[in-house]
Amino acid sequence: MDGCTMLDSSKFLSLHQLVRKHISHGSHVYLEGLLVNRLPMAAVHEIIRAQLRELRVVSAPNGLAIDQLVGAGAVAELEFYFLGFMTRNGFATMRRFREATETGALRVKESMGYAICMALRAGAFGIPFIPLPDFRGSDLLSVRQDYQVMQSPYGSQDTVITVPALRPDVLMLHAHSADAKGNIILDEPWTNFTLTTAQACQKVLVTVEKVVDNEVFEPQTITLPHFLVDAIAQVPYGAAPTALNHRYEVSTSHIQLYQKHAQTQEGFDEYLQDYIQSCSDHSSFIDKAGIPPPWNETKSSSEQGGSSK
Amino acid sequence: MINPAKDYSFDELIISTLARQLEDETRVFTGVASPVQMLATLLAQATHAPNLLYFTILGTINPKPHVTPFSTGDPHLFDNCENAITFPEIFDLANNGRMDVAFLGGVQIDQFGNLNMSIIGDDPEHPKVRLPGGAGGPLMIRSFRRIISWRPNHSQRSLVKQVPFITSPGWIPAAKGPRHGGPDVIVTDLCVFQFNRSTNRINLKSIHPGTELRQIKEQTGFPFAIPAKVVTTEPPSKKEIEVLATKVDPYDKRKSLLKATS
Repeated sequence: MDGCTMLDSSKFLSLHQLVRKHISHGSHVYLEGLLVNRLPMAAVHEIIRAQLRELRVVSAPNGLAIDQLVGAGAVAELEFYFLGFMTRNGFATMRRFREATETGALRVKESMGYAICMALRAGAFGIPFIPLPDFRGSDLLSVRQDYQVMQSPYGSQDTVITVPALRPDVLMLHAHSADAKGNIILDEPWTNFTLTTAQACQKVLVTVEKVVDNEVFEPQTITLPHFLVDAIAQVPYGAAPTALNHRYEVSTSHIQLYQKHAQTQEGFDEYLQDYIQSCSDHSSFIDKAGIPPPWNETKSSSEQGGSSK
Repeated sequence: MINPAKDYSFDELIISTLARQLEDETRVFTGVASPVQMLATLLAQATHAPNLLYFTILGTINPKPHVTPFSTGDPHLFDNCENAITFPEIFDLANNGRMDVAFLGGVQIDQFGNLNMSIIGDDPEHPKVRLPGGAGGPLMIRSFRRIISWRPNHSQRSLVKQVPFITSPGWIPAAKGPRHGGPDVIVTDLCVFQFNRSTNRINLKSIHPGTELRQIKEQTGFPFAIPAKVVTTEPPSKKEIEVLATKVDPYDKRKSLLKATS
C-alpha cells in the first residue's frame, strides 16, 4: 500500500467511531449474514461495548449475532425468521434469544425469509408495501396483524398477502474489501441482494477485511457503489468466529465454547466479560479466542479447506 | 437393478433413502439446517440424477464443496458452483412454478403435513417453548411441487395429530388459493411415509430394515394407513455407498453429521 491517497476521514472510521457515530439507542438495525457465513461479529461486539440499548433489530438468519445482542440486553424488539444453525455438535439453539422470548423480556415479530426480502425490496423500490403470493393457512397471519390479506385490484380472483416496506435506519454488514473511494467488494458468487438491502436502509455501515487505498475497483466487481456507503471500518477477521468466503473457516471450537456459556445468563455474562468487554477491540478478541489465522493466500482454498477440518 | 450392499450403516441408509426421492431433471432446494439433505442431493446428482439442479440457500447452483460442511450456510457451498442467484430469487422462481423439490422439516409435523417451527404452548406472546422459526416455510410449502421432510427422532412428540401452531400449512382447507404442490414424503429414522392426495391420508410406504411395525405404531402420534403388504426400505446399493465415500463425502463426515442432526 504505497499509494498516498487520502481517505475521506468522515467515511473511513475506526470501528469504535463507526458504531458510536451511526448507531444510537433505539436504532432500527438490519444485520446481514447467513447461518455461519459472514456475520458482522466485530460490529456486534462493538455495539455491545458501546452499551447501546433498546435496539430494534431485523435478523437475516444470523442467530449467533442476535443471541449475543439479546444476551447483552441491547435489543428491545426482534424481527426474525430463523435463529440457530447446525454445528458438528448438533443444532445450536440460541438460548439467550429463547429465554428472553419465553419470559417476555424480548418483543418478537416472527416473519418469513421471503417476506423480509420482499419488505426490503419494497423499501428499496420506494413503495409503502408489497404483495406476496397467498400463504393463508399459516398462523403467522394471526401473529402478524400488519400482514394483510388483499384481493388483487386488477379484476382477477387472486388473493395476495401484503407486507409493509422495511426501511431500517442502519444496514450493518461485513465484506471483503473497500477501495479508496469507498466502493465495496463482497467476494461471493452473486451479491445483488446486498445491493437491494443497502437501497432499503437509511445508512449503510460496512466492516471490511481490507481497505485497498491505492486502488479504485473495476466497476463490474463492485457490490456496493461508494455513494450508497456511509461508513467503513477496516476490521480483519470481522466475521469471526463465523466464516468468510475464500478467507477463513467457521471457528467451530469457539462457537462451541460460546454455546456452553450461553446455556445460562450467568454463563453468558462470563463470556461477555471475558471475550467482549475485556477485549479492547476485535483483534484482541481474535487473540483471546485463539481464532486460527486466515488461509495462506498462496495455497488454494481446496487444500486449506480440506486440511483444516 | 439395485445391487444392495450387505454391510451398510444407518447414515448411508438415510442418505440413500432421501436421495432416491429425487428425480433426474428436477430443481431441488435445501434450506437453513439441512446437511443430511445436502448430502442426499449431492448423492442423487452423482448417481441416478446427473441433470438435477441443486439450489442452496446461499443461492449457488450445483456447488462442489471441497469439504462436507455441517451448516448449509457454510461458504464451502459457494465452492465451484456452476452459477448463482440470490436467496429471494429462488422463491421468485418457485412462485412461478419453476422449482420442484424443497426439503422442509418441522419440529412437529401433523397428519395434514402442517409444520410447526414457531412455538409450543397456547400464548404466542409467552410461549412455553420458543422454536427457531419457520424460515421460508409458510410460502415454500405451497410454491414448490414436492416437500420432502427428514424427521429424525421419530416420536409421538414430533409426529403429532395436530400441531398447536401452523407455521407452514399442509393439505388443509384453510390454505386457500392456488398451490403448486405440498407435503409429499416424510423420511424418519424408522420409516418412510407418503401423502396420498386422493384419500388425503398419510400412507406408510416402507419400514427401515430392523424396525418393527409395532414400534412405528407406538411412536407415531398421527393416524396413518398401513398397506396390506408392508415393504422394507431398500438398503443402499454398493454403488451408492462407494459414491458417498469417494465423491460426495470423501472426508467421511456423514456419520457425525447424521448424529448431529438426531
